[in-house]
Amino acid sequence: MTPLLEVEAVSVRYDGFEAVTGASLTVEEGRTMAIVGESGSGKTSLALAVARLLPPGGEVVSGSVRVDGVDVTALRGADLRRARGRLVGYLAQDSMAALNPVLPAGLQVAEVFETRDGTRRREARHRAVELLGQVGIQRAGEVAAMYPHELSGGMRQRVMIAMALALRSRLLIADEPTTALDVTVQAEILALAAALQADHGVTFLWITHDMGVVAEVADTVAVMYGGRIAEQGPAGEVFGSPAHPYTQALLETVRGGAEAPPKAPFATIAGAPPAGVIPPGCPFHPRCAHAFEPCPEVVPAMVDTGPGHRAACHLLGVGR
Amino acid sequence: MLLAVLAPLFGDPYATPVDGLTPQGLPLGVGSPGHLLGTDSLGRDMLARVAFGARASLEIAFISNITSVGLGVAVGLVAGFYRGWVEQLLMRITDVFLAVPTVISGLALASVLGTGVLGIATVVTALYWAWTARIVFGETLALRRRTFVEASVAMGAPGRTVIRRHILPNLASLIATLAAFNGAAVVAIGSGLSYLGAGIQPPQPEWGNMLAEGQGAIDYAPHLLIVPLLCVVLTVFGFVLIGEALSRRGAQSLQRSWLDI
Amino acid sequence: MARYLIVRLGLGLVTIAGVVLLTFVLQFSLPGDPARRIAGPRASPEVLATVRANLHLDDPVASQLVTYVSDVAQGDLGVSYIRRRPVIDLVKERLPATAVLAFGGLLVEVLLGGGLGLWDGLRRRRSRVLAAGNVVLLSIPTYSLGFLLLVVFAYRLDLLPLGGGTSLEELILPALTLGLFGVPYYAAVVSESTRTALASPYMRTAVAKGLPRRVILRRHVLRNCLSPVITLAGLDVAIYLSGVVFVESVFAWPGIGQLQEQAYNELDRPLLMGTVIIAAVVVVAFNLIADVVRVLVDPRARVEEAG
Repeated sequence: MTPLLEVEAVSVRYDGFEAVTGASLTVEEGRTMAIVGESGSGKTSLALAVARLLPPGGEVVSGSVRVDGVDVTALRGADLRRARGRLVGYLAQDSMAALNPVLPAGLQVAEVFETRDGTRRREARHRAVELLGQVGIQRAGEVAAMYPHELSGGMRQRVMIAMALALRSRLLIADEPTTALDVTVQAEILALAAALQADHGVTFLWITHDMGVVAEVADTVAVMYGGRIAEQGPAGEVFGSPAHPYTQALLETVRGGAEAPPKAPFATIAGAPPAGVIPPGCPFHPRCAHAFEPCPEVVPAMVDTGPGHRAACHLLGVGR
Repeated sequence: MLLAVLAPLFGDPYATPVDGLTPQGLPLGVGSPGHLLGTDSLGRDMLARVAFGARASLEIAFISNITSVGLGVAVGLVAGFYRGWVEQLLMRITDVFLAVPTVISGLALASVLGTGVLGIATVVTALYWAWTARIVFGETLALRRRTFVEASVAMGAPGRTVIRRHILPNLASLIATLAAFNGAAVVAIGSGLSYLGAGIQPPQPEWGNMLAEGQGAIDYAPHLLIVPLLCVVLTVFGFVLIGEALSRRGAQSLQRSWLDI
Repeated sequence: MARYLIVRLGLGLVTIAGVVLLTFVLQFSLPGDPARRIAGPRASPEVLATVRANLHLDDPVASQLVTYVSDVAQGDLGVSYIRRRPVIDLVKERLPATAVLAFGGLLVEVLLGGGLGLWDGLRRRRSRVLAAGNVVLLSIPTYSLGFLLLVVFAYRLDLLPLGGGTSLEELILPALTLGLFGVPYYAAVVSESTRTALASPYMRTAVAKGLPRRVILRRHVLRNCLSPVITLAGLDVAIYLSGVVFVESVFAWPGIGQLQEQAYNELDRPLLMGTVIIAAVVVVAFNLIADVVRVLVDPRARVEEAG
């Protein structure tokens, strides 16, 4: 099976600052890949690059992104507009801000049918209400006439999902869509995503810093740090035998490691993630417990550590 | 820019032998050696007249700008800081003055307060203080909720001290901007009232009443209209430029647009 | 919504009551004897006494105030000294001309100001030309602008009439004058809200949906500009009515503004005060209407007024 999303050596730059460096990953159709990292790790920039939604001033300076065989970084003008949404949909974290405050929720779904399929207004409204029902909104007809601020966070996120369904996006980027929601609503949205995947074969690229969400949704995982992918592989592999010291530390913060003192329920990673300037060599070396000579100078190469499981760490080179 | 505001003042009316009231040459001359800006229908020198007119117009503007901004700031501060019935009383009065249309009430007030420089300055003050009061009130309310002001109040500092030490300094640049734009407005309304016949009365020259006189001569001697007109426009222009400069200070930003991606 | 309306209506009535009180005080401070103004300089003492009695001029001040307020409340603004007709009738006669002028000016400022603002807002950088033009327009008082247009178009170029009537041709310059005065404000407000809309996350959503540019502009940008424009229009009425007085005077437009100017020059006290009250009622009414319309077009405002 050919992958639906192929990201190859992508670097993203904002006015001189490199937010993503040489990131490569693939996602199979109908699967979910989670990109994990702290804020500033470059995960959102990478996702925006895939969706062609980098803000003005940000650009993909090298590498390529192919969605369903189409090189989206090369799309321009009308081709780009037609491809938007059809290839990649985008679920933002802040659904309140992402919906137009002065337009009814239903219209914001229906306008997709109107403008993209040339559906008549009434029919478009009808189909929008139908979709709102499909994403689990009760009394969808009434909700369609309501404005974003009248809806709960969970409902708004469902409206965003309905929008993506209307677009029939091949790939759906979920940029921490559940972060702002409380736990029960979060679980409902995750269940909805799983149902959509089963029914419609939606492919997800799920951006998060929440390992719990990763465990719930992900088939494969990519861990990002300092603009680079530190480790990637099948979720079970990465969770079961993390190869990169950063991934190990990240997992420890959730589980509490064996050597964690009994009175500290939450382990933390010493130091702070890079802000502004990314250290030379391996970006994680200033905080890494295992750093040795090459780490501050040489950028570690990706090394295969198992079937589809790769990591970029000098320790792995030493082991061979 | 400042030159534009002050230019009329340089033609010091006292230094010229021409007083702008007695005819000095042929009527309706347009720029002759003795009369740089020509003469009016009675042969009075236009340069002297606009210079004299500047005195009246700018005196009115100067006085009423200070008094209207001063009154507005005082009312806005007190209403915004003390709240309660003080706020209700002061802001309802402000509402009344905001609701009466400027020019119409200006005419009505002028008929009571008289048409001298002080009378018109009072009229203009009455018409304009409420705008400043409204804006200063809103800003004071916002400042009142800021932590450093609340802390100061909670520690028992007297209201006057809090206003002087914490609120006024934070309002300073807003007040400066308001004063500049208010200056532009009062120059315009001051000479506007004179134009309508409610300001300084002829024969004493004032830009507004010169405009009214010039309007009748639009067909055959347009300079009678254009000279005082340019004086008003340039003066207002000066104030607006100052206001723009004050309000733009550090606010120029390049915003991003999602349509550009 | 109903509660909000009642509160706003109440505040409006308080404001109007304040204006009525103000005009009452002003009438008292005016020089001259109203009875003599009405009866004429050669009237006999008996006639003067009758007139004074009719006007309740000899009653105590408090009782005069009561009479005045109850008259105003019933729509009786008194009788013009010069024209010998009820003020309210005179105002009604002149209202259509002023309404046409005001509407024409509003059209100019919304279309021209809004159009320029949209154009400026869609540019990557603000247009310096527009900014300079705004400053210049702000600097030209309404009547001066009227004169400038009059000199250039009617006198120099002889394209349009000098004014004095109410034909469509004669409407162009006054409406343009009135509208141009407001253009900088509308341009600034629309430009600002366009920029805010373009930079907001919901715009990213709209772009991400692959909507055509015209749908984005019409539905997602313009809809968001509507509310600030309505707020501005509501706040603007008081200033706008002042512009009307000047414009009617410069172009000899036979509306309420001109009536007002004449009332001043003729020292026609009831007419002067009557028009002040009428104008204040118009201002308060339009502020209220603007508030209500804003709540109708901007769903967010419904939350504000409820909270």
